[in-house]
Formats: sequence, C-alpha cells, structure tokens
Amino acid sequence: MESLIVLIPLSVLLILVALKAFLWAVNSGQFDDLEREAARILEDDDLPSAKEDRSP
Amino acid sequence: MNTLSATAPSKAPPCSAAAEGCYHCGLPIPPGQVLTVPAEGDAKPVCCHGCEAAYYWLKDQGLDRYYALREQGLGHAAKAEVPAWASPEVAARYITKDGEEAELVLALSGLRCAACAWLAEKGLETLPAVQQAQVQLATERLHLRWTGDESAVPAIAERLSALGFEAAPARSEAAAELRRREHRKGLARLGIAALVTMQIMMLSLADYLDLLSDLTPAFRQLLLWAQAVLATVLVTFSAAPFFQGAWRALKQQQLTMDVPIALALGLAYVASIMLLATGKAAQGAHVYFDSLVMFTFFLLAGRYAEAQLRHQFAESDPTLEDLLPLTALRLRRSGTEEDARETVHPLDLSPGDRILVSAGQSVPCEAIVQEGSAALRLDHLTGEAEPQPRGPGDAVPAGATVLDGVLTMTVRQPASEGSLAALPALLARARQSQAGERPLLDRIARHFFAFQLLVALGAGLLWLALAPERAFEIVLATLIIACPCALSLATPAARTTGALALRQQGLRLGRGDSLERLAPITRVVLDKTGTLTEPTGALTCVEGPASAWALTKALERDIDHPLARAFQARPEAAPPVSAQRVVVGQGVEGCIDGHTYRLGRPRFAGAEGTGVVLSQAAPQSPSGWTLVARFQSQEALRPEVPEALAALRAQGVKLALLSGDHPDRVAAVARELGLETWEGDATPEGKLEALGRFHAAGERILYVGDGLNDAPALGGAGVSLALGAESRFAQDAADMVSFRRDLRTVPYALGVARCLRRRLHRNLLWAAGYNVAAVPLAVAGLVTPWLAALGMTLSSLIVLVHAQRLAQDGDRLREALWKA
Repeated sequence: MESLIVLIPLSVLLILVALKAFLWAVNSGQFDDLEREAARILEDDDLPSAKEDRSP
Repeated sequence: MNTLSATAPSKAPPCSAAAEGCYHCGLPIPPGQVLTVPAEGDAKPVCCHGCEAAYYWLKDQGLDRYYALREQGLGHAAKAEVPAWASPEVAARYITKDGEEAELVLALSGLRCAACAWLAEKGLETLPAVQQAQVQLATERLHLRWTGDESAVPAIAERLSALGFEAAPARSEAAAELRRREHRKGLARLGIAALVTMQIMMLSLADYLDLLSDLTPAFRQLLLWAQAVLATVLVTFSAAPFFQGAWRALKQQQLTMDVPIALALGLAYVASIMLLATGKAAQGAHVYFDSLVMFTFFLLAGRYAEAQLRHQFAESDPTLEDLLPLTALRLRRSGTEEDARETVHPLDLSPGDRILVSAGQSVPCEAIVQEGSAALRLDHLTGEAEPQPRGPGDAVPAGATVLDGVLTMTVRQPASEGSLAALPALLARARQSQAGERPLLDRIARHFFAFQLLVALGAGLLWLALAPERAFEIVLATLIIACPCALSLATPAARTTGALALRQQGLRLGRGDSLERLAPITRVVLDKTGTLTEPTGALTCVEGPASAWALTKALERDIDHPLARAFQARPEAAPPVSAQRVVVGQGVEGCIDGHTYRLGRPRFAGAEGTGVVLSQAAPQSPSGWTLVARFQSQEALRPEVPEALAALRAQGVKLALLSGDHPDRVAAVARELGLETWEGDATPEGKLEALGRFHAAGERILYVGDGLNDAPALGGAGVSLALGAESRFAQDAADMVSFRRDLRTVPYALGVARCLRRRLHRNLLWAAGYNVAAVPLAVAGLVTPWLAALGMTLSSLIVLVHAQRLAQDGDRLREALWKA
C-alpha cells in the first residue's frame, strides 16, 4: 500500500509528460492534415526521374 | 572568382572554386589541412571532417550526383528560365510598393531543409538591389524586399530558378494561416481535456466504488490532490477560452453563453480546492473535479466539431486571387503573319482580346472558344465533377481548367467582372448581412442567459433556507443543466451544413439568411430567356424584308463573333462593303452602295426593343437612323427544364412565367411546359409590379432569372435566385446564385431549405422541452452536477447530430434530381 505514495504522484508526472508530448505533436503540425500525410508515402517524390519529368 | 560571382552567389558552393576551396562546401581550405576525398578520379581537398563525412554519406547513399547537379545548377545560371509571371508588366500586379522599396511574397517549391532556405536567402541577397530575403520553411514562403520596382523582378526570378527553386507569387495565405492556428489550438485544448478527463475519472474510481472509506485520510488526500493538479492544468489551459470569452462579454456589459459556463467552471474549481485545502474533502465531503473536467471536455468537443465544419466551409471558398491564373497569354494579330504572343496579367485583359489557354492552365475570364476543342473541368464553381467538352462557339466560364488540348478564345468580359468576381462579391454581401442579423440572435440569447442565472440564484437561495449544505451542489447542477449549448451550437452547424450541401451543387448564398427565407415560399416565378430557354445560335428575321440578309452578311464579313458567324452562314450573296468598323460590345457599321448601315444592339442602331437591329443612316429622322430589319436569335428549351418543373410541382409550389419577350413566344413556351400563369412583354418595372401582385395575394415568391434586365430589388416580396453568375444582378442583388446553369438546382435549393427549417424547428422544440423538464429536476435537488453535465452533453450531442444529418438530406435530394 505504501508504494502508492510514490506511484500516484509518479502517474501524475507521467501524464504531464504525455500532455507535453501531445502539445508538441500538435504544434509541430502533425495533426494539421491527416489525409495528406497518409498519402505522402505513396508519392514518388524522391525519385530523380520523377523530378525531371515534372519540369517540361 | 570575380567573374563567377556575377552569376552565382558568392557564399554558395561555387563550382570551379572546388579546385582551390573545399570540394563539398566551397569554403577556403585552412592552412595545414590535408584531408582529401576521392572524387572525379582525383583527390579533392575538403576543409574539415564534417565535409568529409558529408561527402562519404552522400556517396554511400548513391547521391554523389549532387556534385554534378550542383555545378550544372549554379555554373550555368544564364540558361535558367524566367517564369512567365516575372515579366515586369505582370509582376507589377503582385508586388507592393512602399516608397523606394518594393515587396513580394513568393511561394517556393523545392525547399527541403534549412540549408535550402539558407541558399535561397543568401543567393538573393547577393543581388545588389535586394535588401532582405527571408524564407519561412514551414509555410514555404519567401518574403522579399528590395529597392526599386517591378523591373528587378526578372533578375530575382532568374536567380531563384538558377538556384533550383520554382517560385510563384503567393496567394492569399493569411486566412489559411489563421485557420491553421485556430485548428491547432482547438485540437490541443480538446486533446488535453480528453487525457485529463480520463485520468481524473480513473483517480475518482475509488470514490465511485465507495472504497474510500477503507482508505486512510492520508491516501484519500493524496488521490484528491492528484486530481487537483490535473484539474488545474485543464482549467488554466483547456478551459481558458470560456473564461476569456466571459471576461470580454462582461467588460462590454453583455451576457453570452461563456458567462454561465465560466461561472459554473470557476465555482466548481474554487469550491473543490477549498474543500481540499481545509481538509473537509479528506473527511468525505464531495469534490467536483470529475464533473468539471467532463463538462469542459464535452463543451470543447462540440466547439471543435463546429469549428471544423466552419473551416471546411471556408476552405471551399476560394478568393478571386486563388482562382485566377497567374498569367494569361494574349495573341496579338500582327498583319497576316503568325500571331505575336505576349504574357499579361489576367486583370489586364479586355473584351475582344484573343487568348491562348493550353492544357493544365485555367481560363482567366469569361471567354468564347474560337479554335480548338478541349475537355474542361468546371467543378470549382458548379460542383460538376465530369469534364465538360467545349468547342468553337462555346462559352467558357472564368476559372475553368483546360484538361487537354489548346484553346484559342475571345475574351467576353474582363476578369474583374466575370463569374469569378461574383465569388468575393457574394461573400462580402453574405458577411455584411450576417453582421446585420446578429444583434437579434444575441438579444434572445441574452434573455436566456439572464434567465438561467436567475434560476440558479433562486435555487441557491431556496436551498440555503432549506438545507444549506446542499445549496452549492444544486446551484452548480442548475447552471450546468440549463446551459443552452445545444442550441447555440446546433443552429450555426445546421446552417453551415446546409450551405455546404448547396455549394456542392454550385449554389452560393448572397445573404446569410437566404436559406431560411427560401423555405416558406409558395410560388416560383421564372424568367424565360436564359432560365428556361437558351439561344441556339440560329437567327430569324422577325421584321423587315428578306433581302436584309444580304446586307447583314456583307456587314459581318470577316468578323469573328458567334453572332457574326450566324449571319455569315446565310446562303445569300453579299454585296461589297467599305468603311467597315466594329464597335466592341455594340455592333458593326459599314457602307454598302453609298448608304451607311449599322447592325447590332437596338440602341446602337438607333432603335428601341430587343434583338439585333439593322438600320440605315437617315439624317432626316430624329435618331439619325431608320430601321431596316430586326432579327431574333432562335431559342430552345433547355433539356433539364421539364424535369426541374415537375420536381417543383411535386414540392407543392405554384409556377409562373414572366418575360420581357414577345407574348407569342412566351405563350408558346408556357404551353409547351404546361404553365398556366404567364406574362409577356414585361418591362423590369412591369415584372416588379407582377411580383408585387403575387405578394399582395399572400404568396411568398422565389424569383428565378439570369437577371439580364432583372436587377430591380425584390424588397420584401421574396427571395431571388440568379442562374449563372456573370450578370450584375447575380453579383449585386441576388439572394442566391447558381453557378451551374441548371434549373434543377432550384428544386434542390428549395428541398435543402425546407429540410433545414424542419431540423431547426425540431431542435428548438427538443431544447425547449429538455430545459422545461430538466431545470425543475435540478432545482428540486434530484440531479447531481456530474449527472447534469452528462445530460447537457447528451442533449447537445443529439441536437448537433440531428442538425448534421442535413447533409444526408442533401444527398438524397441530389440523387432524386440528378438520377440520370
């Protein structure tokens, strides 16, 4: 039972860390556009040939 | 080195400097440094271990082509292309001048990292005129300030493209940035409220299961303090907007929804902390952290949903700037030789200009196709997803995107007046009207909030007398349960959903309350030309001798205009014509057989009435002209009209036809469509009078016209809908504008408006019923604060979901109307 005296404040601290992490994620724009980011992996953007094709 | 710095920025890696500088970064090699890398079959010096590592990393990744590409990019700046928008005449439209200095915001693509941003900035700052170049990596925007004017823009654009960046003037970005920030804040508040709520619920579990009595007061105290810490985070961060809103309202001596909310939250928080601090909570007194966080979370969830909807709405609302292409290609006829092309800003085009639009570009203004055919996408305005084919003689609206082929077109209307310009005009009007209607809503709401506060106060006083220890709990429960969040969220949500449903079919509102005024109409009054019928291109001679055809054919010779082509197509032999002169937008003048003739608009040819008039110069007549012949373009019923009218009849509205055209023609159309009420030969004043008669008979009217002569305001007589957005009527006066010339949008709009009204009424009824039932329960002390929060939330949720179902109503209507 006595361990609760440490564990409860610890859990509160952990939550505060989690909140901080969430805030960081939101502020760095990770939730700005959920659809766009999901599609990004499918793009051939990093292939050099694709890049040259784009400029006529 | 000196010659090189003229074409390449001195700080960026210069290519031929590799011989003397670092192979990777181009900086001078420090004395005594002997590091080399094996490149291009040679040992190239590098300045430091960092550059050495960078070289090997690139090589390992197979990216050492970078060095070759870099040298191409920088060493041959002269080859870089200057984009079309950068010509001084066009660029002048995009820069802002401030005395000696000019500013320009560019959207850059090709930015990958901080080093790219650095390269762009330094690369530009080496240009003598440039004062400041600043790149925002996150938004990919480049802010430029330089001394001079637009004449410096080509050099800037050339430098940017030499550096490998694609740049274009940035469009309206401020509003999107603001929305992004609002969205982030809302999400952060909601997410944190959700996390905190779950944690506090967990910490309260012992309380709910009544295990607390088994715990020592010290443990109890610990659990409660943990809750207090989390609740403090929530109150200071997530609930901040409620307190700020309440404070703002009170400062202006007004009551808004935020006031009772902030009061409830503040009371619950302060009281709980007090109970905790004085040790009463540890002895079993109830704290309200759980009710507090739940209440906040659900309130925020509702607001977030509403804001999302609002943003979605705003994003589907492009500005004129967004829709216009950056440049337009104008053709200038130089003798009989090939046409000279020049790049101009779309706003500099004037009627009669010929433009060239190729695949992938959008049409800058209302235009008529001359040569070529192509598929066009028009969905930005009309919501039609299918590409539409267009060929010679067809009209193309501004903003349409050419998907394939090349079109040569004649400008019909300047870009500042076409259907694109209708968008900002409509938006501004809708906003204005909304600003006007707000006070009424606020007044009603203020009474409600005052009532809510009074009831809570009364309940408090009552219970202070009956059972003082329960008074606080009951005041809190009453405050929460009577919160009219349901209504204040659901009404805007329903309106936005309705407007969004209309927009998907190309309908836009000119007034904030157009939809609500549309719902109760009983009669639809239709204009004929442009609404029920459209010109087929063929002409008939309605007045004058048949020999006039030969004269008109002569006058229109070699003139490029759809109407002119109809005259040219006649079989008669044309006599020779001299002194031929075109007056843009009016008609044509010419000399045949020693007589001067004019052909064109009635006023231009010195006549009255409608149609196209041919007249001969006659010095003795008062107008200077005598009428020879009058022509009317033939018209045909539009294919969707019978279906649309049937849908309107099924909706139980009466129909009427009102036209300025000749009564015989109006009667023919009315007969064909089975319309019993019709009137021809109506002047604009006559039309207004007729509408007034319907109004006096107790009917509410929807007037549908494309508004060529129909600008008179309807006043209180009803609602107006413009079919097509090019007319002044659409832009200045219509309550609604259908960008899609499709009469079926009328029954669609009516259906959506009626569903909206039904849903709003049901919501009001529900909210009133809920308050009538729940408030007495709360005052009687039968509802605990957490139960109140749950009840309030459920009620909001029901109302909100009910309002949003309007989208499904819209889908059903669409399927029924456009089933083909």
